[in-house]
Amino acid sequence: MESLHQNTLTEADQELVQLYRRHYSPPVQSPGEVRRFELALQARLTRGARVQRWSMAGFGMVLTAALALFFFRSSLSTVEPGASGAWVSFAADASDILVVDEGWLELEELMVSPVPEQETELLALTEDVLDTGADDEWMPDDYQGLADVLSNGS
Amino acid sequence: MKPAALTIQPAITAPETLEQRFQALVSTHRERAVRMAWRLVGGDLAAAEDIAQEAFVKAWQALPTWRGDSELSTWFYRILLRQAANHRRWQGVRTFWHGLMKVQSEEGYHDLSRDAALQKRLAKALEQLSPGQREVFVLVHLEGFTLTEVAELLGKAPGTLKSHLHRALESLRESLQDVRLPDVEEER
Repeated sequence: MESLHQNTLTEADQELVQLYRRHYSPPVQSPGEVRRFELALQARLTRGARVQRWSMAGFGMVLTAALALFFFRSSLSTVEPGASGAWVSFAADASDILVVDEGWLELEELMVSPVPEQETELLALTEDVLDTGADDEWMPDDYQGLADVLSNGS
Repeated sequence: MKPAALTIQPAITAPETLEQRFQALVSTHRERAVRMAWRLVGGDLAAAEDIAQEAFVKAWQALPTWRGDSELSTWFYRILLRQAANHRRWQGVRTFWHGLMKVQSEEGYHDLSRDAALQKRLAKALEQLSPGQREVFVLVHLEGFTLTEVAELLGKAPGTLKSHLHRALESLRESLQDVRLPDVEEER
């Protein structure tokens, strides 16, 4: 194991190197110690492989969750209300329908059983409407009048 | 991928698998790896074994990405040297912590039947070198690597290594000038 560099050493340096070579070495390992080393290495390799597998699985799960969150958020921010085909717009439409339905129910309830104060006005309005005799012209104004009566009375 | 079992398998003529290559690496370089780590970390056998094992684990994990542009052993020793350097970097923190916990650490030297006092002197003198000087001295003079090999291992120019070696020898001579061993003779 003599290196080329060794040839250029002075005698004092060569002595120094020999001193280190002879007295600065670990004890020679017995076959039992070698076996112990190999078993410890085997255990580390197995543990390392397990940790690697788990860390890869964990990384995959985190990546999937991050991607899912990203797409979820981007779908919320890009879909316009009323756009067809998206669940967000469907939900918006459904709530609108619900509000409209509730309004109609309220109106129907008032028409069926109007309160006494409204009843006279409602009858008078109905007579006025009938007296006009026209089919098309009266509807917008009188319909608005009916709505005013209902909203004031509620 | 399943880690390699460390039992020696019969030789197979088919192209070498990763496991076979790794088994050969361990069986060929285990002893030298432990010895080199022991010399680099100041004579602590437990730490040396730990460093060698960690280097083998890292080598196994990185083996599929090894491109073969250098010798497998050179590649492995580069990993080992990095591990040893990392260990030394944290040694200061460990010593500080042991001091706080008032733990009496023996810093190696478990083999007291050998000339423990001399070994301690040699380790102390080596400790006084810079990390670069210590690495080059151990690799060239104690482990028998050539300057070209060490230059490849450490990624440094041969001129820098020669300068490190010169200063290392100078410093060691000065530290150990009172040590006289009449029976120093050629090793083997």
